Amino acid sequence: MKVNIPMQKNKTGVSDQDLARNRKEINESLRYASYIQKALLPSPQTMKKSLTEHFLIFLPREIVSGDFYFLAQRKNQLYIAVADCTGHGVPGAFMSILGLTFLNEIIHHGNPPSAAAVLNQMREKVMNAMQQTGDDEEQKDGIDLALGVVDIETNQFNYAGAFNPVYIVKKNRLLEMLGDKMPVGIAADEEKPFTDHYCELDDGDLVYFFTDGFVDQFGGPHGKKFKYQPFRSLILTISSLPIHKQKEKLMGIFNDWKGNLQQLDDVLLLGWRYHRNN
Amino acid sequence: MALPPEQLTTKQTEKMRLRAFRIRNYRSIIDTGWCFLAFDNITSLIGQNESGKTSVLEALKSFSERRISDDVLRSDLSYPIIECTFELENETFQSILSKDRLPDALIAQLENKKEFNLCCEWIDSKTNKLTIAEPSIINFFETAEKKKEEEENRISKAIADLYDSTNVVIHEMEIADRAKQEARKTLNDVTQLLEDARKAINKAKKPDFQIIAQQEFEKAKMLLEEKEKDFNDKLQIFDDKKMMTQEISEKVSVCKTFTELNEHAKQLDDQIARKYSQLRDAEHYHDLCSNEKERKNSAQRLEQLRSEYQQMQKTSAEYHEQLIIKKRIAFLVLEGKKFRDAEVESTVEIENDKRYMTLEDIARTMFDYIPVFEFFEDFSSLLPNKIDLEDLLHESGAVEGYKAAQNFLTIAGLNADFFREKNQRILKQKIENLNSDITIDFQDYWSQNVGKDNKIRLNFELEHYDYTVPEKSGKPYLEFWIKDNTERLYPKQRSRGVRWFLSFYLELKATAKSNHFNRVLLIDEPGLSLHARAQEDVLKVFEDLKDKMQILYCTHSPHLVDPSKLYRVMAIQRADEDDERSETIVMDAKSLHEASSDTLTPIYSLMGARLYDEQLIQQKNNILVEDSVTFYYLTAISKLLDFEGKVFFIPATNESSIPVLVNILIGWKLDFMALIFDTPEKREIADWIKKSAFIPSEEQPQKKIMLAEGFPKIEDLFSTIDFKKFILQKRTGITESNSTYIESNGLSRMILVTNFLNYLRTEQTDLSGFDDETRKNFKTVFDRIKKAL
Repeated sequence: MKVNIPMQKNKTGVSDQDLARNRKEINESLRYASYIQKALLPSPQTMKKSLTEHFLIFLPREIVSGDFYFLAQRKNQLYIAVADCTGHGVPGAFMSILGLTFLNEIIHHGNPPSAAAVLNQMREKVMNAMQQTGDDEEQKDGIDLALGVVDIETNQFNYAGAFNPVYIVKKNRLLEMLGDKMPVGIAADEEKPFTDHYCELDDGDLVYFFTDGFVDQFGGPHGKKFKYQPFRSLILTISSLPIHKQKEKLMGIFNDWKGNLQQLDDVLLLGWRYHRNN
Repeated sequence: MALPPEQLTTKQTEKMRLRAFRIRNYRSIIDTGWCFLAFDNITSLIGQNESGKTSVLEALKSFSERRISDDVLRSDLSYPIIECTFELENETFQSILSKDRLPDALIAQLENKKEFNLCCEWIDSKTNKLTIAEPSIINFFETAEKKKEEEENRISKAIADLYDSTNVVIHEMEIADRAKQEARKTLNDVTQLLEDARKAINKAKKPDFQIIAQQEFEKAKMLLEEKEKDFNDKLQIFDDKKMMTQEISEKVSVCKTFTELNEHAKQLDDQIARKYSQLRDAEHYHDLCSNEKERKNSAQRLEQLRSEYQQMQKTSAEYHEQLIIKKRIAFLVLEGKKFRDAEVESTVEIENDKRYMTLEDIARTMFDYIPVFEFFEDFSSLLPNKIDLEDLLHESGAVEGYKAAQNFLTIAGLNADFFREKNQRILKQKIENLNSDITIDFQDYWSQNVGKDNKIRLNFELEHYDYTVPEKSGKPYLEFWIKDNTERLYPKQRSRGVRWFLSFYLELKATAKSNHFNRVLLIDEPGLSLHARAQEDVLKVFEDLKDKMQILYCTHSPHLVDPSKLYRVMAIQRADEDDERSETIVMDAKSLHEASSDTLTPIYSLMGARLYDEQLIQQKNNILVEDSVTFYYLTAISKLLDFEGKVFFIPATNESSIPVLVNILIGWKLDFMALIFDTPEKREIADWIKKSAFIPSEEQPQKKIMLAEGFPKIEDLFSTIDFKKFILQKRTGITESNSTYIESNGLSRMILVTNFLNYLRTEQTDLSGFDDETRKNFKTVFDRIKKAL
């Protein structure tokens, strides 16, 4: 006997089939968007050419990422940035495109700017683009960013950061360069100039750029955040390993830590062993 | 004098500018020093009456004509020396002086030279010497002259040595001759001895005696050989000495010819000098002759003397030409050349040298290229009421008003063909059209009205004499009118001022139209009889024509001085203003502050109150800035920096009025600097001030005219963050320069600076409140100011 069972509809009147079809279309769009996002990021070949011995851990939380990394060379200055835009997924991805575009514009215009000068100019561009004026009710979107500028002739490393620090391991000692506590975007109270920090890189020094996705990940036996202190110890521990091993180790530790819990945020971690005459 | 215009070739009409002059010993002028004309072709000489302004113009006229009158001589009777520096604009020395008439070494030195100096020095009231003072040329000729002198000295010394050595050689020859004679005698004796020995052998019977005789014979034979050799040696010595004597004799002969010719030439030069003196005396006597008979006799005598003088000069020239050749031959012979070879070589050399220009030739050639100096005499040629067409077409210069009428036709672009038009209606229409054009052009300059609205109009008409003038009946003439709406009057019926201006306008316009060559127009007190406004019209004419000629004029009218262009002014005054007999001194634009108040009266009148009495402006350390907004910012910043230098910022109305303020401060003897921000237009203004306020070679412009490089406006000294915080007082993204942001958002700079000053006051902000970038920029600018103080 044939029984016609009527289609199930939810309270909004949209069927499950419709929902599934919409989700599929959205995911396809997002997947396509992720290709575009990947196209804007430096290619592995470019990374290999400029950084030689490095690893990159890039784990978007969703199909598209709010984190991005950037690489450019201008005369004898090598610019490396790792950034975390407000939000993740689509909003973050849009911001990341803005961030990449602005970095390109600033670095390739006029004389090669210092790291702090780049961040200062980038902030103006973000504020202008997002029409941020500091009103209470406006969205305070911004970008947390660590930017390093390496002078490959003098081996000088110049860093400026919007929240995001940079770690340098020199002769088994970890040097932490801390950024300013304000984003690239409208600040909580008042914009101030970003600060330039300098040090000299020796052959074999390791430089680590990262967003907070790794350290903010919940997990472990008690479901807590990984946090910065253990992360610093981890970095110091793995720094003696070959670069590709470092990546494996970090991936392993991250996955172990996360376990079955959902990835909280985009994860981006760039490690680079510096060689003079790179 | 410089060639009259009609004789100039196209080449000679290329541009050359008078750059500077120096006048010595001309009336009240002892030495003006070098005075530079304004770079934009209008230079004014201001000064009181009897200060010597006109003397400057007349001296330049004398230079151009190479003529002076006795009344220009100073009381010490020293003769004038007038120098002018000219600038070659498009030409070079090589294009003016043809290359094949200059030695290669000189051509190389003149490469790229663009200036030269001509000096006209009077030897007496009728004679002057023209020289060129271009250092390369002078050096070249001085070196050549020095070489010639050295050559002459060497010849003189060589001749002296030659005479000494001649005696020695002759003496040696005599000794050699005696020695030769002695040797010959000895030889003869020994020959005889040998003969005797031979005879003795023949005579000897016994073998012992034969042996002895043979031995004696052998001895004699050996001795003979010896003596023969000795004789030959001595003969050779004698021959050598003889040859030397002959050579020296030849040299002596050549040198003697040269020496005699030299002496003769010197004697002739002395005679010429005496003849010249006689000629001068005769000329002076001729000038003093009072009656016709005396004058006639004197003229005959003068003619004779002139003829003799010219003949002597001609003979002297020939002698000198010969002398040059003989000297050269003597030199070469003394160097060891054979006479024939020396003769050929020196002839070739001298022929080559002849084609080269001398220093005098170069001076004369360059003089022919200099601009025409024209002295404008105001009432020398007024527009007549009428003039016969025949006189115009036949260039009857003596006819009254001919020059002005000719100028009129030149401006109208008319020539004889115009008046050959047979159709009277067409001719009259053409004349009407021309009158309209001429009037419109004239009215551009003559801004005054007759009565309320009436502008004056220039007209000419072609008429024919009627029966009332029987000798000219039917002949054409031109009639000139100066019309307004109510009347038509002949030029002579108009005011003196209008007639002067018209004459001046016609002269300058006609001159400008015939723009084949350069002119320097010297004008003494233009527009003396003109109303103040009309005098400003005179300035307008100058401005319009300055690209076509250089104008140098005297005035004591403030209306003929442009206050924004004080670099054009030279002040002329007596060294001791209370003594009219004291020398005239000239001060250029940079030294105007040294001139007396009376001399600078035109400028003072123009500028009103003496600004330096006010607190705003001080004697020193005045810094001109482009506007009041900049003034306020800089004042505030200097306080923030606690700037220790005492400076006084003076705001202009905008950057383009800074040059006017510069001129005013120069005129008021006040020290100044200017701080100009960095845009292409402002850089041009800075360059203009450097050029017009300073002589180009000075280092001071770099120090006094400060460019805030990299900052288009004062607001750009602030970093973006500080600009938003202190000035804009708004949080927003600014992706352009601060000044561009202000402009693109239509913000008021005055309101912004007020915000800034209020903020500083209310928040009591000090320098530490600004970020590094802002502080660094403030310091950069104020360090520059400090360095300039």
